[in-house]
Amino acid sequence: MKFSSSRRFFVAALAVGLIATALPAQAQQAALTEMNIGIISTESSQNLKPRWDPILADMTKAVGMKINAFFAPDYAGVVEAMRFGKVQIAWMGNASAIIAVDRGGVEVFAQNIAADGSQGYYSHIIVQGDGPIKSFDDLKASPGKYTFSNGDPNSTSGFLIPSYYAWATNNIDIRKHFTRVVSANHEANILAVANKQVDLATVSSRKS
Amino acid sequence: MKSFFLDYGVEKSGKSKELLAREKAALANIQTGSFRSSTNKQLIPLRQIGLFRDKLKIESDDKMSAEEKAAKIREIDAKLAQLQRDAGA
Repeated sequence: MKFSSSRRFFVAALAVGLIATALPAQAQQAALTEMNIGIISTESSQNLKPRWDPILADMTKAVGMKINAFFAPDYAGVVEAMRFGKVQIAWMGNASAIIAVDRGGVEVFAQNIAADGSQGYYSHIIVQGDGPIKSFDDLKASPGKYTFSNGDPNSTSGFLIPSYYAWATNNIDIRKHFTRVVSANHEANILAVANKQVDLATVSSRKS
Repeated sequence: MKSFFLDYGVEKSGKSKELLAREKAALANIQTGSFRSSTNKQLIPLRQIGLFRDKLKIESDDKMSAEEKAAKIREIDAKLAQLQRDAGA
């Protein structure tokens, strides 16, 4: 199948899947002799520890103090520990980081970037490469003209992100704006556009 | 500590090729290329999406009265507007 002829619009980059590292303000003032780092991951700690060891060893050398790493499957314990200053630095996803910032009084200070330079994934609106839609503005300016295959309502990248960033923020009611709205998963959406069954559809840049 | 992360796995004067390669390998172990400086603003898109999801839920709630719905939606819209301002600030 050839996708090269399909046109993609960038809708919004969402930092989901990215890791935020948070640092409480008091850690900067207190003279610490050792530091505790919380690492939140769904992966089991037996697998995680050996992967983190080289960085933790370098960190110990760089800051000249002992670094103790705690591996946790969810945010609850780490956020609580940060709130009481028992954990000074943590590694976590953005959803956990929101809770850590709101409840733990910490601050995001760094973000990780994938080896390929990407900072997350993108939600795309795809259209036919040889079709009439050349830009997002064409879509906005043409109510009652096109058919749309939305993402699955439970999909963040296929449904929620385009619903907010493409439609809601542009005051577009998709039920009125498009002549037909169906919904399907990413793969079916790609096929529906490629086979010209719909004019546009949502997909995610994420491979999985 | 912040500069440790920001410099890690990044070319810098005085950093040997061997050290850089070692740092990059250590980062690859945790599926990371490098770090960049960030702030709480990083969380705004996810906060917006969360509020929007709540709004959709309220709009499709059949049991809630029209007044309650309107009040809750106003509340969410105000928060969304504030986040929009925060994002631009």
